[in-house]
Amino acid sequence: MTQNQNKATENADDRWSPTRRAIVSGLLIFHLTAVFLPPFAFQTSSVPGTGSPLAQPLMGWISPYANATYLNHGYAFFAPDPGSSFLLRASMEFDDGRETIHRTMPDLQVDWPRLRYHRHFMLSEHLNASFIPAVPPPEVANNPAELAVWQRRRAMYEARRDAIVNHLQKKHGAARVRLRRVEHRLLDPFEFSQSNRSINDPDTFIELSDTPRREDGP
Amino acid sequence: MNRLTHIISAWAADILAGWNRFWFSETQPHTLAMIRILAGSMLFYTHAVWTLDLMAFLGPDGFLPNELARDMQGDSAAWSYLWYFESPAILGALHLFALTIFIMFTVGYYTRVTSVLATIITLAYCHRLSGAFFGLDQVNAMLAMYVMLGPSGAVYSVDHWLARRQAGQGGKQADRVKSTVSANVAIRLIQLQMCVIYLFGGVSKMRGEMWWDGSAVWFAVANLEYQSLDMTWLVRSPWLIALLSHVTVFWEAFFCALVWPKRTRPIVLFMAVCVHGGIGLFLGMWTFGLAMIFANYSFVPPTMTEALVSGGSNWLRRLTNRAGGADRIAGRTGTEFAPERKRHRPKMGSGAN
Repeated sequence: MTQNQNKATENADDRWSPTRRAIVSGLLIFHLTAVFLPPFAFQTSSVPGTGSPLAQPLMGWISPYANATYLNHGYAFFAPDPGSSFLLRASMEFDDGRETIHRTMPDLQVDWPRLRYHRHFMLSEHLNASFIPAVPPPEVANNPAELAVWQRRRAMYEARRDAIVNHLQKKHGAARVRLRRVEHRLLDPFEFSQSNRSINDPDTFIELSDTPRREDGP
Repeated sequence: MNRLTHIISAWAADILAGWNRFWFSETQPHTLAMIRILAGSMLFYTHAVWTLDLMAFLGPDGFLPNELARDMQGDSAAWSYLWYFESPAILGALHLFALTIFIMFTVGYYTRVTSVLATIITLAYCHRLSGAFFGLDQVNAMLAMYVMLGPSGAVYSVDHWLARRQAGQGGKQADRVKSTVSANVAIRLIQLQMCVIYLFGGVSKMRGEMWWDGSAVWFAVANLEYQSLDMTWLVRSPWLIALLSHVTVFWEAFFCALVWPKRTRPIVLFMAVCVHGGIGLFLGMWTFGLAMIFANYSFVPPTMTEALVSGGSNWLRRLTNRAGGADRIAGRTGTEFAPERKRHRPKMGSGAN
Protein backbone atom coordinates (compact mmCIF):
# COMPACT_ATOMS: atom_id res chain seq x y z
CA MET A 1 0.00 0.00 0.00
CA THR A 2 1.30 3.44 -0.84
CA GLN A 3 1.33 6.32 1.61
CA ASN A 4 -1.55 7.98 -0.22
CA GLN A 5 -3.64 4.83 -0.06
CA ASN A 6 -2.95 4.49 3.66
CA LYS A 7 -4.13 8.04 4.23
CA ALA A 8 -7.21 7.41 2.11
CA THR A 9 -8.11 4.35 4.20
CA GLU A 10 -7.62 6.22 7.47
CA ASN A 11 -9.84 9.07 6.30
CA ALA A 12 -12.41 6.80 4.70
CA ASP A 13 -15.88 8.37 4.46
CA ASP A 14 -17.65 5.44 2.92
CA ARG A 15 -16.11 1.98 3.16
CA TRP A 16 -18.16 -0.87 1.70
CA SER A 17 -18.33 -4.32 3.31
CA PRO A 18 -17.03 -7.35 1.35
CA THR A 19 -20.61 -8.64 0.94
CA ARG A 20 -21.77 -5.34 -0.49
CA ARG A 21 -18.78 -5.27 -2.82
CA ALA A 22 -19.49 -8.82 -3.99
CA ILE A 23 -23.14 -8.07 -4.77
CA VAL A 24 -22.32 -4.82 -6.56
CA SER A 25 -19.50 -6.58 -8.47
CA GLY A 26 -22.01 -9.14 -9.77
CA LEU A 27 -24.40 -6.38 -10.87
CA LEU A 28 -21.55 -4.47 -12.53
CA ILE A 29 -20.42 -7.53 -14.50
CA PHE A 30 -23.98 -8.13 -15.68
CA HIS A 31 -24.43 -4.48 -16.65
CA LEU A 32 -21.09 -4.23 -18.44
CA THR A 33 -21.98 -7.35 -20.41
CA ALA A 34 -25.11 -5.52 -21.55
CA VAL A 35 -22.97 -2.52 -22.53
CA PHE A 36 -20.51 -4.61 -24.54
CA LEU A 37 -22.70 -7.27 -26.19
CA PRO A 38 -25.06 -5.17 -28.38
CA PRO A 39 -22.31 -3.44 -30.41
CA PHE A 40 -20.37 -6.71 -30.50
CA ALA A 41 -23.40 -8.62 -31.83
CA PHE A 42 -24.06 -5.78 -34.29
CA GLN A 43 -20.53 -5.97 -35.67
CA THR A 44 -20.65 -9.75 -36.02
CA SER A 45 -23.87 -9.76 -38.06
CA SER A 46 -24.33 -8.59 -41.61
CA VAL A 47 -28.10 -9.22 -41.74
CA PRO A 48 -30.41 -8.72 -38.71
CA GLY A 49 -30.87 -11.97 -36.81
CA THR A 50 -27.77 -13.65 -38.23
CA GLY A 51 -24.14 -13.60 -37.18
CA SER A 52 -21.70 -15.06 -34.69
CA PRO A 53 -23.01 -18.25 -33.03
CA LEU A 54 -21.54 -16.89 -29.80
CA ALA A 55 -22.87 -13.33 -29.94
CA GLN A 56 -26.44 -14.06 -31.04
CA PRO A 57 -27.49 -16.47 -28.25
CA LEU A 58 -25.86 -14.24 -25.63
CA MET A 59 -27.67 -11.28 -27.11
CA GLY A 60 -30.98 -13.09 -26.84
CA TRP A 61 -30.28 -13.57 -23.16
CA ILE A 62 -29.19 -10.00 -22.39
CA SER A 63 -31.42 -8.05 -24.80
CA PRO A 64 -34.41 -7.56 -22.44
CA TYR A 65 -32.17 -5.66 -20.04
CA ALA A 66 -30.24 -3.90 -22.83
CA ASN A 67 -33.50 -2.78 -24.46
CA ALA A 68 -35.03 -1.59 -21.21
CA THR A 69 -31.98 0.51 -20.38
CA TYR A 70 -31.53 1.77 -23.97
CA LEU A 71 -28.14 0.12 -24.38
CA ASN A 72 -28.97 -1.86 -27.51
CA HIS A 73 -26.89 0.11 -30.04
CA GLY A 74 -24.12 -0.55 -32.54
CA TYR A 75 -22.30 2.82 -32.20
CA ALA A 76 -21.42 2.69 -35.92
CA PHE A 77 -21.32 6.46 -36.44
CA PHE A 78 -20.49 7.31 -40.10
CA ALA A 79 -19.56 3.64 -40.52
CA PRO A 80 -18.63 1.41 -42.21
CA ASP A 81 -18.48 4.30 -44.72
CA PRO A 82 -20.18 7.71 -44.76
CA GLY A 83 -23.08 7.28 -47.17
CA SER A 84 -25.81 9.14 -49.02
CA SER A 85 -28.56 10.96 -47.18
CA PHE A 86 -32.15 9.80 -47.53
CA LEU A 87 -34.92 12.37 -47.67
CA LEU A 88 -38.67 12.34 -48.11
CA ARG A 89 -40.56 14.39 -50.63
CA ALA A 90 -44.27 14.79 -50.00
CA SER A 91 -46.90 16.28 -52.30
CA MET A 92 -50.19 17.24 -50.67
CA GLU A 93 -53.00 17.33 -53.26
CA PHE A 94 -56.41 18.94 -52.73
CA ASP A 95 -59.82 18.45 -54.34
CA ASP A 96 -61.03 21.98 -53.58
CA GLY A 97 -58.87 23.74 -56.13
CA ARG A 98 -55.97 24.61 -53.82
CA GLU A 99 -52.53 24.25 -55.32
CA THR A 100 -50.50 21.18 -54.48
CA ILE A 101 -48.11 21.73 -51.57
CA HIS A 102 -44.63 20.24 -51.89
CA ARG A 103 -42.57 19.57 -48.80
CA THR A 104 -39.15 18.02 -48.34
CA MET A 105 -38.14 16.36 -45.08
CA PRO A 106 -35.92 17.56 -43.58
CA ASP A 107 -35.94 21.21 -44.61
CA LEU A 108 -33.47 23.65 -43.04
CA GLN A 109 -35.72 26.60 -43.92
CA VAL A 110 -38.67 25.17 -41.97
CA ASP A 111 -37.24 22.91 -39.29
CA TRP A 112 -35.55 25.19 -36.77
CA PRO A 113 -33.61 24.87 -34.47
CA ARG A 114 -31.05 22.47 -35.83
CA LEU A 115 -32.03 19.65 -33.46
CA ARG A 116 -35.60 19.83 -34.74
CA TYR A 117 -34.27 19.59 -38.28
CA HIS A 118 -32.25 16.57 -37.22
CA ARG A 119 -35.34 14.83 -35.80
CA HIS A 120 -37.07 15.16 -39.18
CA PHE A 121 -33.89 14.02 -40.90
CA MET A 122 -33.71 10.92 -38.69
CA LEU A 123 -37.39 10.21 -39.37
CA SER A 124 -36.68 10.00 -43.10
CA GLU A 125 -33.40 8.12 -42.57
CA HIS A 126 -35.07 5.53 -40.31
CA LEU A 127 -37.95 5.08 -42.78
CA ASN A 128 -35.51 4.43 -45.57
CA ALA A 129 -33.41 2.09 -43.43
CA SER A 130 -36.54 0.02 -42.73
CA PHE A 131 -37.47 -0.19 -46.42
CA ILE A 132 -38.33 -3.68 -47.69
CA PRO A 133 -39.59 -4.07 -51.28
CA ALA A 134 -43.21 -5.12 -51.68
CA VAL A 135 -42.31 -8.15 -53.80
CA PRO A 136 -39.82 -10.59 -52.28
CA PRO A 137 -37.13 -12.18 -54.45
CA PRO A 138 -37.78 -15.83 -55.52
CA GLU A 139 -35.35 -17.34 -53.00
CA VAL A 140 -37.31 -15.70 -50.17
CA ALA A 141 -40.76 -16.35 -51.68
CA ASN A 142 -40.01 -20.09 -51.81
CA ASN A 143 -38.95 -20.29 -48.16
CA PRO A 144 -41.95 -19.97 -45.76
CA ALA A 145 -39.85 -18.98 -42.73
CA GLU A 146 -37.94 -16.29 -44.62
CA LEU A 147 -41.13 -15.13 -46.32
CA ALA A 148 -42.83 -14.61 -42.94
CA VAL A 149 -39.91 -12.45 -41.73
CA TRP A 150 -39.98 -10.54 -45.02
CA GLN A 151 -43.71 -9.87 -44.73
CA ARG A 152 -43.40 -8.77 -41.12
CA ARG A 153 -40.64 -6.32 -41.99
CA ARG A 154 -42.56 -5.03 -45.01
CA ALA A 155 -45.66 -4.50 -42.84
CA MET A 156 -43.55 -2.50 -40.37
CA TYR A 157 -42.16 -0.34 -43.19
CA GLU A 158 -45.68 0.28 -44.53
CA ALA A 159 -46.95 1.20 -41.05
CA ARG A 160 -44.16 3.77 -40.68
CA ARG A 161 -44.75 5.18 -44.16
CA ASP A 162 -48.55 5.32 -43.67
CA ALA A 163 -48.18 7.12 -40.33
CA ILE A 164 -46.17 9.88 -42.05
CA VAL A 165 -48.71 10.09 -44.89
CA ASN A 166 -51.59 10.20 -42.41
CA HIS A 167 -49.94 12.96 -40.38
CA LEU A 168 -49.31 15.15 -43.41
CA GLN A 169 -52.82 14.54 -44.73
CA LYS A 170 -54.44 15.55 -41.42
CA LYS A 171 -52.11 18.51 -40.89
CA HIS A 172 -52.76 20.04 -44.33
CA GLY A 173 -56.33 18.76 -44.82
CA ALA A 174 -55.21 17.21 -48.11
CA ALA A 175 -57.24 14.77 -50.17
CA ARG A 176 -54.16 12.77 -51.10
CA VAL A 177 -50.50 12.68 -50.08
CA ARG A 178 -47.83 11.30 -52.37
CA LEU A 179 -44.69 10.33 -50.47
CA ARG A 180 -41.43 9.56 -52.24
CA ARG A 181 -38.12 8.43 -50.85
CA VAL A 182 -35.15 10.32 -52.27
CA GLU A 183 -31.48 9.45 -52.09
CA HIS A 184 -29.11 12.41 -52.11
CA ARG A 185 -25.99 10.95 -53.67
CA LEU A 186 -22.59 12.23 -52.54
CA LEU A 187 -20.12 13.54 -55.10
CA ASP A 188 -16.66 12.04 -54.89
CA PRO A 189 -13.71 14.47 -54.71
CA PHE A 190 -12.91 13.97 -58.41
CA GLU A 191 -16.49 14.73 -59.58
CA PHE A 192 -16.59 17.77 -57.30
CA SER A 193 -13.28 19.34 -58.25
CA GLN A 194 -12.81 18.30 -61.89
CA SER A 195 -16.33 18.78 -63.22
CA ASN A 196 -16.99 21.86 -61.08
CA ARG A 197 -20.28 20.50 -59.78
CA SER A 198 -22.19 21.47 -56.66
CA ILE A 199 -23.10 18.99 -53.92
CA ASN A 200 -26.63 20.31 -54.40
CA ASP A 201 -26.89 19.54 -58.14
CA PRO A 202 -30.41 18.36 -59.08
CA ASP A 203 -29.09 15.13 -60.58
CA THR A 204 -27.58 14.10 -57.25
CA PHE A 205 -31.15 13.62 -55.94
CA ILE A 206 -32.42 10.19 -57.01
CA GLU A 207 -36.04 9.22 -56.51
CA LEU A 208 -36.26 5.66 -55.19
CA SER A 209 -38.89 3.22 -56.34
CA ASP A 210 -40.77 0.55 -54.40
CA THR A 211 -39.44 -2.26 -56.59
CA PRO A 212 -36.88 -4.78 -55.34
CA ARG A 213 -33.37 -3.51 -54.89
CA ARG A 214 -30.75 -5.30 -56.95
CA GLU A 215 -27.08 -5.74 -56.37
CA ASP A 216 -26.17 -4.18 -59.73
CA GLY A 217 -28.19 -1.02 -59.50
CA PRO A 218 -30.38 1.26 -57.44
CA MET B 1 2.78 -27.78 -8.33
CA ASN B 2 2.62 -25.79 -5.09
CA ARG B 3 4.70 -23.07 -6.67
CA LEU B 4 2.32 -22.92 -9.66
CA THR B 5 -0.68 -22.73 -7.30
CA HIS B 6 1.04 -19.96 -5.41
CA ILE B 7 1.70 -17.97 -8.61
CA ILE B 8 -1.89 -18.38 -9.78
CA SER B 9 -3.39 -17.42 -6.42
CA ALA B 10 -1.08 -14.39 -6.18
CA TRP B 11 -2.17 -13.38 -9.68
CA ALA B 12 -5.86 -13.81 -8.77
CA ALA B 13 -5.38 -11.81 -5.56
CA ASP B 14 -3.71 -9.07 -7.57
CA ILE B 15 -6.62 -9.00 -10.03
CA LEU B 16 -9.10 -8.83 -7.15
CA ALA B 17 -7.18 -5.99 -5.49
CA GLY B 18 -7.11 -4.13 -8.80
CA TRP B 19 -10.86 -4.66 -9.25
CA ASN B 20 -11.55 -3.36 -5.75
CA ARG B 21 -9.27 -0.37 -6.25
CA PHE B 22 -10.86 0.46 -9.61
CA TRP B 23 -14.48 0.21 -8.48
CA PHE B 24 -14.59 0.63 -4.72
CA SER B 25 -12.21 3.50 -4.01
CA GLU B 26 -13.86 6.62 -2.72
CA THR B 27 -13.88 9.77 -4.76
CA GLN B 28 -15.12 13.32 -4.36
CA PRO B 29 -18.35 14.16 -6.19
CA HIS B 30 -17.20 17.31 -8.02
CA THR B 31 -16.76 15.76 -11.47
CA LEU B 32 -20.06 13.88 -11.19
CA ALA B 33 -21.82 17.07 -10.10
CA MET B 34 -20.37 18.95 -13.06
CA ILE B 35 -21.61 16.19 -15.40
CA ARG B 36 -25.04 16.51 -13.75
CA ILE B 37 -25.14 20.20 -14.66
CA LEU B 38 -23.87 19.66 -18.21
CA ALA B 39 -25.98 16.58 -18.97
CA GLY B 40 -29.03 18.07 -17.25
CA SER B 41 -28.80 21.18 -19.41
CA MET B 42 -28.58 19.01 -22.51
CA LEU B 43 -31.54 16.89 -21.37
CA PHE B 44 -33.57 20.04 -20.83
CA TYR B 45 -32.67 21.47 -24.23
CA THR B 46 -33.24 18.17 -26.04
CA HIS B 47 -36.72 17.80 -24.59
CA ALA B 48 -37.55 21.51 -24.87
CA VAL B 49 -37.08 21.16 -28.63
CA TRP B 50 -39.69 18.35 -28.67
CA THR B 51 -42.17 20.99 -27.42
CA LEU B 52 -42.18 22.53 -30.90
CA ASP B 53 -43.40 19.26 -32.44
CA LEU B 54 -45.01 17.54 -29.49
CA MET B 55 -48.26 16.44 -31.13
CA ALA B 56 -46.59 15.97 -34.53
CA PHE B 57 -44.54 13.18 -32.98
CA LEU B 58 -46.49 12.02 -29.91
CA GLY B 59 -50.07 12.64 -31.02
CA PRO B 60 -52.47 9.99 -32.36
CA ASP B 61 -52.11 11.48 -35.84
CA GLY B 62 -48.40 12.08 -35.47
CA PHE B 63 -45.43 10.72 -37.37
CA LEU B 64 -45.02 7.98 -34.76
CA PRO B 65 -48.40 7.03 -33.28
CA ASN B 66 -48.48 4.94 -30.10
CA GLU B 67 -49.42 1.66 -31.75
CA LEU B 68 -46.51 1.96 -34.19
CA ALA B 69 -44.09 2.98 -31.43
CA ARG B 70 -45.02 -0.13 -29.43
CA ASP B 71 -44.79 -2.39 -32.49
CA MET B 72 -41.32 -1.01 -33.20
CA GLN B 73 -40.18 -2.21 -29.77
CA GLY B 74 -41.51 -5.70 -30.54
CA ASP B 75 -41.29 -8.15 -27.64
CA SER B 76 -38.45 -6.29 -25.97
CA ALA B 77 -38.60 -5.18 -22.35
CA ALA B 78 -38.51 -1.51 -23.38
CA TRP B 79 -41.28 0.48 -21.72
CA SER B 80 -42.57 4.03 -21.85
CA TYR B 81 -45.35 5.68 -19.84
CA LEU B 82 -45.97 7.83 -22.93
CA TRP B 83 -47.46 4.77 -24.69
CA TYR B 84 -50.65 5.16 -22.65
CA PHE B 85 -51.56 8.75 -23.47
CA GLU B 86 -52.83 10.48 -26.59
CA SER B 87 -54.75 13.48 -25.28
CA PRO B 88 -52.98 16.78 -26.09
CA ALA B 89 -53.76 18.13 -22.61
CA ILE B 90 -52.29 15.12 -20.79
CA LEU B 91 -49.27 14.90 -23.10
CA GLY B 92 -48.69 18.65 -22.64
CA ALA B 93 -48.90 18.34 -18.84
CA LEU B 94 -46.54 15.33 -18.81
CA HIS B 95 -44.12 17.19 -21.04
CA LEU B 96 -44.20 20.25 -18.78
CA PHE B 97 -43.57 17.99 -15.79
CA ALA B 98 -40.62 16.42 -17.61
CA LEU B 99 -39.08 19.84 -18.37
CA THR B 100 -39.54 20.90 -14.74
CA ILE B 101 -37.79 17.74 -13.53
CA PHE B 102 -34.87 18.37 -15.91
CA ILE B 103 -34.48 21.93 -14.57
CA MET B 104 -34.57 20.67 -10.95
CA PHE B 105 -32.06 17.95 -11.81
CA THR B 106 -29.72 20.44 -13.50
CA VAL B 107 -29.67 22.88 -10.59
CA GLY B 108 -29.50 20.02 -8.09
CA TYR B 109 -32.79 20.49 -6.25
CA TYR B 110 -34.07 17.30 -4.56
CA THR B 111 -31.34 15.67 -6.62
CA ARG B 112 -31.80 12.14 -5.28
CA VAL B 113 -35.42 12.09 -6.49
CA THR B 114 -35.06 14.20 -9.62
CA SER B 115 -32.07 12.18 -10.87
CA VAL B 116 -34.18 9.00 -10.77
CA LEU B 117 -37.15 10.76 -12.40
CA ALA B 118 -34.88 12.31 -15.07
CA THR B 119 -33.65 8.83 -15.98
CA ILE B 120 -37.17 7.37 -16.15
CA ILE B 121 -38.37 10.29 -18.30
CA THR B 122 -35.35 10.12 -20.62
CA LEU B 123 -35.81 6.38 -21.19
CA ALA B 124 -39.55 6.88 -21.72
CA TYR B 125 -38.95 9.39 -24.53
CA CYS B 126 -36.27 7.12 -26.02
CA HIS B 127 -38.64 4.16 -26.17
CA ARG B 128 -41.58 6.25 -27.39
CA LEU B 129 -39.78 8.12 -30.18
CA SER B 130 -37.14 5.66 -31.34
CA GLY B 131 -38.06 6.31 -35.00
CA ALA B 132 -36.51 9.79 -34.80
CA PHE B 133 -33.60 9.22 -32.45
CA PHE B 134 -29.84 9.25 -32.96
CA GLY B 135 -26.51 9.23 -31.08
CA LEU B 136 -27.42 12.24 -28.93
CA ASP B 137 -30.22 10.28 -27.27
CA GLN B 138 -27.93 7.33 -26.57
CA VAL B 139 -25.48 9.61 -24.76
CA ASN B 140 -28.27 11.48 -22.94
CA ALA B 141 -29.72 8.20 -21.64
CA MET B 142 -26.29 6.92 -20.60
CA LEU B 143 -25.42 10.07 -18.64
CA ALA B 144 -28.82 10.31 -16.95
CA MET B 145 -28.65 6.66 -15.87
CA TYR B 146 -25.12 6.81 -14.42
CA VAL B 147 -25.40 10.24 -12.80
CA MET B 148 -28.43 8.85 -10.96
CA LEU B 149 -26.22 6.24 -9.25
CA GLY B 150 -23.95 8.68 -7.43
CA PRO B 151 -24.28 11.69 -5.10
CA SER B 152 -24.39 14.18 -7.95
CA GLY B 153 -26.16 16.80 -5.83
CA ALA B 154 -23.52 16.80 -3.09
CA VAL B 155 -21.87 19.93 -4.51
CA TYR B 156 -22.69 22.68 -7.01
CA SER B 157 -26.35 22.24 -6.22
CA VAL B 158 -29.32 23.91 -4.59
CA ASP B 159 -29.42 20.94 -2.19
CA HIS B 160 -25.90 21.73 -0.98
CA TRP B 161 -26.63 25.43 -0.72
CA LEU B 162 -29.80 24.76 1.30
CA ALA B 163 -28.00 22.32 3.60
CA ARG B 164 -25.31 24.91 4.30
CA ARG B 165 -27.89 27.61 4.92
CA GLN B 166 -29.86 25.42 7.32
CA ALA B 167 -26.70 24.50 9.19
CA GLY B 168 -25.81 28.18 9.60
CA GLN B 169 -22.33 29.49 10.23
CA GLY B 170 -21.34 26.73 12.63
CA GLY B 171 -22.64 23.90 10.48
CA LYS B 172 -19.41 22.24 9.52
CA GLN B 173 -21.11 18.94 8.75
CA ALA B 174 -23.10 20.52 5.94
CA ASP B 175 -19.92 22.09 4.53
CA ARG B 176 -18.08 18.80 4.50
CA VAL B 177 -18.05 17.14 1.09
CA LYS B 178 -17.81 13.39 1.50
CA SER B 179 -15.81 11.09 -0.72
CA THR B 180 -17.99 8.14 -1.69
CA VAL B 181 -17.72 4.83 -3.48
CA SER B 182 -20.98 5.45 -5.35
CA ALA B 183 -19.52 8.62 -6.95
CA ASN B 184 -16.61 6.47 -8.12
CA VAL B 185 -18.88 3.71 -9.48
CA ALA B 186 -20.96 6.25 -11.43
CA ILE B 187 -17.87 7.87 -12.97
CA ARG B 188 -16.27 4.50 -13.77
CA LEU B 189 -19.43 3.36 -15.59
CA ILE B 190 -19.44 6.47 -17.78
CA GLN B 191 -15.74 6.01 -18.51
CA LEU B 192 -16.11 2.34 -19.44
CA GLN B 193 -19.15 2.89 -21.65
CA MET B 194 -17.26 5.65 -23.45
CA CYS B 195 -14.45 3.15 -24.09
CA VAL B 196 -16.98 0.67 -25.54
CA ILE B 197 -18.59 3.36 -27.72
CA TYR B 198 -15.25 4.45 -29.18
CA LEU B 199 -13.94 0.90 -29.56
CA PHE B 200 -16.89 -0.16 -31.69
CA GLY B 201 -16.97 3.22 -33.44
CA GLY B 202 -13.39 2.51 -34.54
CA VAL B 203 -13.98 -1.17 -35.31
CA SER B 204 -17.03 -0.41 -37.47
CA LYS B 205 -15.06 2.21 -39.42
CA MET B 206 -12.31 -0.34 -40.00
CA ARG B 207 -14.84 -2.43 -41.92
CA GLY B 208 -15.32 0.35 -44.44
CA GLU B 209 -13.17 1.22 -47.46
CA MET B 210 -13.27 5.01 -47.26
CA TRP B 211 -11.69 5.17 -43.82
CA TRP B 212 -8.78 3.14 -45.23
CA ASP B 213 -8.41 4.93 -48.58
CA GLY B 214 -8.49 8.26 -46.69
CA SER B 215 -11.58 9.74 -48.35
CA ALA B 216 -14.14 9.27 -45.52
CA VAL B 217 -13.90 12.78 -44.09
CA TRP B 218 -14.54 14.20 -47.57
CA PHE B 219 -17.82 12.26 -47.79
CA ALA B 220 -18.80 13.53 -44.35
CA VAL B 221 -18.17 17.21 -45.18
CA ALA B 222 -19.68 16.88 -48.69
CA ASN B 223 -22.99 15.72 -47.23
CA LEU B 224 -25.32 18.69 -47.66
CA GLU B 225 -27.88 17.43 -45.15
CA TYR B 226 -25.31 17.40 -42.34
CA GLN B 227 -23.30 20.41 -43.43
CA SER B 228 -23.48 23.50 -41.20
CA LEU B 229 -20.24 25.10 -42.37
CA ASP B 230 -18.98 24.61 -45.90
CA MET B 231 -15.74 22.63 -45.68
CA THR B 232 -15.68 21.43 -49.29
CA TRP B 233 -12.54 23.56 -49.83
CA LEU B 234 -10.80 20.59 -48.23
CA VAL B 235 -10.98 18.94 -51.64
CA ARG B 236 -7.86 20.95 -52.54
CA SER B 237 -5.93 19.21 -49.73
CA PRO B 238 -6.47 15.47 -50.14
CA TRP B 239 -3.61 14.77 -47.74
CA LEU B 240 -5.45 16.67 -45.00
CA ILE B 241 -8.68 14.74 -45.67
CA ALA B 242 -6.72 11.48 -45.47
CA LEU B 243 -4.92 12.57 -42.29
CA LEU B 244 -8.22 13.45 -40.58
CA SER B 245 -9.79 10.14 -41.72
CA HIS B 246 -6.94 7.95 -40.52
CA VAL B 247 -6.42 9.80 -37.24
CA THR B 248 -10.15 9.49 -36.45
CA VAL B 249 -10.14 5.71 -36.89
CA PHE B 250 -6.99 5.11 -34.85
CA TRP B 251 -8.03 7.57 -32.13
CA GLU B 252 -11.42 5.86 -31.76
CA ALA B 253 -10.05 2.32 -31.85
CA PHE B 254 -7.28 2.97 -29.30
CA PHE B 255 -9.16 5.40 -27.05
CA CYS B 256 -9.97 2.53 -24.66
CA ALA B 257 -6.26 1.89 -24.09
CA LEU B 258 -4.75 5.39 -24.31
CA VAL B 259 -7.22 7.21 -22.09
CA TRP B 260 -6.06 5.43 -18.89
CA PRO B 261 -2.32 6.30 -18.68
CA LYS B 262 -1.94 9.79 -17.26
CA ARG B 263 0.62 10.78 -19.90
CA THR B 264 -1.63 10.00 -22.88
CA ARG B 265 -4.97 10.96 -21.34
CA PRO B 266 -4.72 14.73 -21.99
CA ILE B 267 -3.85 14.08 -25.66
CA VAL B 268 -6.73 11.64 -26.12
CA LEU B 269 -9.20 14.00 -24.43
CA PHE B 270 -7.93 16.99 -26.43
CA MET B 271 -8.60 14.98 -29.59
CA ALA B 272 -12.09 14.15 -28.31
CA VAL B 273 -12.79 17.88 -27.96
CA CYS B 274 -11.44 18.50 -31.50
CA VAL B 275 -13.37 15.62 -33.13
CA HIS B 276 -16.67 16.32 -31.36
CA GLY B 277 -16.23 20.07 -31.63
CA GLY B 278 -15.72 19.54 -35.37
CA ILE B 279 -18.87 17.40 -35.60
CA GLY B 280 -20.78 20.17 -33.86
CA LEU B 281 -19.31 23.02 -35.85
CA PHE B 282 -19.14 21.53 -39.34
CA LEU B 283 -21.70 18.70 -39.40
CA GLY B 284 -24.56 20.51 -37.70
CA MET B 285 -24.78 18.17 -34.71
CA TRP B 286 -23.55 20.45 -31.95
CA THR B 287 -25.92 18.78 -29.48
CA PHE B 288 -24.37 15.36 -30.11
CA GLY B 289 -20.86 16.84 -30.18
CA LEU B 290 -21.37 18.58 -26.84
CA ALA B 291 -22.99 15.52 -25.24
CA MET B 292 -19.94 13.43 -26.17
CA ILE B 293 -17.61 16.10 -24.75
CA PHE B 294 -19.67 16.11 -21.53
CA ALA B 295 -19.31 12.33 -21.30
CA ASN B 296 -15.56 12.64 -21.86
CA TYR B 297 -15.49 15.02 -18.91
CA SER B 298 -15.79 11.89 -16.71
CA PHE B 299 -12.04 11.44 -17.21
CA VAL B 300 -11.28 14.78 -15.56
CA PRO B 301 -10.32 14.25 -11.88
CA PRO B 302 -12.51 15.88 -9.20
CA THR B 303 -9.53 17.90 -7.99
CA MET B 304 -9.27 19.53 -11.39
CA THR B 305 -13.02 20.18 -11.53
CA GLU B 306 -12.82 21.85 -8.14
CA ALA B 307 -9.84 23.92 -9.24
CA LEU B 308 -11.64 24.94 -12.45
CA VAL B 309 -14.80 25.97 -10.61
CA SER B 310 -12.81 27.80 -7.94
CA GLY B 311 -10.75 29.58 -10.58
CA GLY B 312 -13.85 30.47 -12.56
CA SER B 313 -15.62 31.66 -9.44
CA ASN B 314 -12.67 33.85 -8.39
CA TRP B 315 -12.33 35.27 -11.89
CA LEU B 316 -16.04 36.09 -11.92
CA ARG B 317 -15.74 37.75 -8.51
CA ARG B 318 -12.82 39.89 -9.63
CA LEU B 319 -14.71 40.84 -12.77
CA THR B 320 -17.80 41.81 -10.79
CA ASN B 321 -15.74 43.66 -8.18
CA ARG B 322 -14.23 45.71 -10.95
CA ALA B 323 -17.71 46.51 -12.18
CA GLY B 324 -18.53 47.98 -8.75
CA GLY B 325 -20.50 45.23 -7.06
CA ALA B 326 -17.77 44.21 -4.62
CA ASP B 327 -19.73 44.23 -1.37
CA ARG B 328 -22.74 42.38 -2.71
CA ILE B 329 -20.71 39.61 -4.33
CA ALA B 330 -18.37 39.05 -1.37
CA GLY B 331 -21.37 38.67 0.89
CA ARG B 332 -23.31 36.21 -1.23
CA THR B 333 -21.69 34.11 -3.87
CA GLY B 334 -18.03 35.03 -3.93
CA THR B 335 -16.99 32.44 -1.38
CA GLU B 336 -19.40 29.70 -2.44
CA PHE B 337 -16.71 27.23 -3.44
CA ALA B 338 -13.43 28.65 -2.19
CA PRO B 339 -13.72 27.78 1.55
CA GLU B 340 -14.50 24.12 0.76
CA ARG B 341 -11.25 23.91 -1.06
CA LYS B 342 -9.34 25.15 1.96
CA ARG B 343 -11.13 22.95 4.45
CA HIS B 344 -11.25 19.80 2.37
CA ARG B 345 -8.35 19.31 0.11
CA PRO B 346 -9.45 16.31 -2.02
CA LYS B 347 -7.43 13.18 -1.62
CA MET B 348 -4.93 12.47 -4.33
CA GLY B 349 -4.20 9.07 -5.80
CA SER B 350 -7.53 7.40 -5.14
CA GLY B 351 -10.88 7.17 -6.78
CA ALA B 352 -12.00 7.85 -10.32
CA ASN B 353 -9.17 9.73 -11.95
